[in-house]
Amino acid sequence: MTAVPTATAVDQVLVTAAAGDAITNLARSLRPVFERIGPSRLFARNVDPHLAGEVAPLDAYPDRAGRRVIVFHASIGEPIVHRFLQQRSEPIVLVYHNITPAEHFAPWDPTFAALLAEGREEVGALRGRVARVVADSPFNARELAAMGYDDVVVVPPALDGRRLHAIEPSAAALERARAFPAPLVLSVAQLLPHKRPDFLVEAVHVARTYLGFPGTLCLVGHQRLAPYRRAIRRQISELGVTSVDLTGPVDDDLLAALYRTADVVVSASEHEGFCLPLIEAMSFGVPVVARAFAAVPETVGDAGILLPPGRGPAFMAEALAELLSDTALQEDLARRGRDRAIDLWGRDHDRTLLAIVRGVAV
Amino acid sequence: MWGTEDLDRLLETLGHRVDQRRAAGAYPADLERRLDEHFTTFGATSEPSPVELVEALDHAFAELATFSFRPDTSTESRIPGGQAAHRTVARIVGRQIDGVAGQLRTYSDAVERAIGIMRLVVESVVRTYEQDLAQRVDDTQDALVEHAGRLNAIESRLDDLAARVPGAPRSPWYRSEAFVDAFRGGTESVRERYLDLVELFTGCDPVLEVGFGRGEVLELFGEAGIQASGIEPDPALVDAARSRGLRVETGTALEYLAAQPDASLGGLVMIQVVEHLPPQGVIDVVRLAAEKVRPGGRVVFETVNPTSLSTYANAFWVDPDHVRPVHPAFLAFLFREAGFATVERVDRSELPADERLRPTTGADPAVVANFARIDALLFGPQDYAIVATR
Repeated sequence: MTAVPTATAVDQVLVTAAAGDAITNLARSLRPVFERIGPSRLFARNVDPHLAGEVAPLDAYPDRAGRRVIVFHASIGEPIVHRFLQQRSEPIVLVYHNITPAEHFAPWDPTFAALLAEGREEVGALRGRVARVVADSPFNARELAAMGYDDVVVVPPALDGRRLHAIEPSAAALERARAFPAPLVLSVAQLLPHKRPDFLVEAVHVARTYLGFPGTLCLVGHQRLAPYRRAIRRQISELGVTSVDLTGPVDDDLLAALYRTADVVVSASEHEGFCLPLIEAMSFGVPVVARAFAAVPETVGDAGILLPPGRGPAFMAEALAELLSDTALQEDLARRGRDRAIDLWGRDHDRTLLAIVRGVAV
Repeated sequence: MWGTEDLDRLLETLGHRVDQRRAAGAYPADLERRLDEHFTTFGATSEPSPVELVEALDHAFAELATFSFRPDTSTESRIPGGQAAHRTVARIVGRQIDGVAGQLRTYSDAVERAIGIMRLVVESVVRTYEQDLAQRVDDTQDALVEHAGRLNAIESRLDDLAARVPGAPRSPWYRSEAFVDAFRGGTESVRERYLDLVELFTGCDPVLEVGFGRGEVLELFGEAGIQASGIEPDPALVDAARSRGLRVETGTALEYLAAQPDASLGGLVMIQVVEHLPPQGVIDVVRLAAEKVRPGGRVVFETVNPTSLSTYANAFWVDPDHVRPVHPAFLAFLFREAGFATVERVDRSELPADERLRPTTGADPAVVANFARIDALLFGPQDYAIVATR
């Protein structure tokens, strides 16, 4: 027998792997990229049963140290994962997707809020173990720099523009999207406190009650935080805003149909490390109205209407009314949005990340 | 065409418009504050509704229903060519059982979760007195009982399986040293018995002894000036040998040999070891010996001789760790097939004359011959060794 040099394995580690989660999807799409270096597996502390075949539980991580690189996607705290990373000897490439500030969650889910707070501390504490650090936006890079990381590489997330555009929506999906009373205002965001769906409900309430808005707000996205979902439901029912549809999670077929049908895509989010749905909206030529928090201004640039952080739902209601009545503005934003999306797609995320990980692997 | 300045101007216009409407009384002056307060009152205090709880319970049961046990044996190896050996080792030590036990724990966690949700459902039903929900709780309780039954059945099957796997690690409460002392004879007699084997390894440094027990043979190697080290699965025996200055490590034959570079050993000796391995282990260990011992090197395996019926019926079964005897013809066959240059069977541990049939004299020659044959069959050598040159 002759000794064959073994390839370096690239293991991606996440705290939680969930279907429909943007970071989980990113990690899944990176797997074939890292397989160019060596065997590549996904490990997570919490694994959605739907992904059990694809993502291994962190407990199953090989005991013995070997020729491996760990690519850790940081988006929340988890003491067990942190301990794991501290105890291993493999070099770590930290990919920072930002961690939502804990205060958004404190009233709704104190345990989760505590994990978020810990998450920031853990990312800071990991500094000595990290070989290379990657941020997916300049906004995130600034946060890392504030935690003491230097030499942060900004690699915007993989924007697979082809995925949704390649989908020719089914007749059923188009029918469902078109059944909503127009104009269609679309929000694609998990129903979580920092995304501020309550703000959107209020804006639509104002637009409908005082500005005669006849259309629908579709809130697309997972609704994992039960008490928060209940509160939003109750808000909608008590305000009597029948024009809000709590659509929930959708498949790509319906998502593509909704983007093709939507008149405007809105975001009230107060914390985004990047905000992928806004890029998707722009790529479909749907005008964007978003509040200018965190990385959102960097993402949208001058291709959408950015609302000043200090202004409330009435301001958003005015902006929606104005945009929906001005076709020249709609067309102009659609054109700029498409250009902006193409600009961002042009950056080769996978290749850059591959080069960074390969540099650590040798 | 709009420009960035136009967007700025638009924002300004929108701001004015909000202020104007408010001033004109089109909105209530404190509309936004009241909306905010309205939402804040909900807080996280709202209890999950019974319907939501039952949904959660359904989900928990769906998780249980899709649960299936799979063989879970790690066959990963970083050692070149180690995959096959690993698979074998995994089979031998019955890691499947650990894997299934892990899955069993996961399953039992899921059952526990379901029971937890169940309790909430019951509490909630008590609060709301909903008739149809009570029915659903009954149904789910039945399902739970069924799952618990399934769990018990799996558990007892697992116990069964564990008891039946040959060579599965047992947990004796006695010390291995005590066992060796009781059944392997005094240290001096062992030294005497193996002096001749040790001499076979002259010029075959380094020698590895797998299963060195109390280490007498390793000491003989040292005295003969032959460089030797040993492995033993029992850490207590390893500690004892190490404290006497012997070069020893904890390890098992297949795993340890698989991890050695090819042709790195001059000699390999395994005294009373192969009968502890399941058949696949015997087959694999000869292959590994051929790989790890360099050409010209020496390999000696000594084991119990099952063709001597008194030994087979008696001594072989004293050690509860013995899996099955290895027939000399088969072991010799394995060595030849593995490509050893010379393979020789050597009888060992002849019984003293007073423990054998007494020779008949002066009788019919046929009776004498038959007597000798019966004697050989019943009281043949207790052990045999395969002595092979790589």
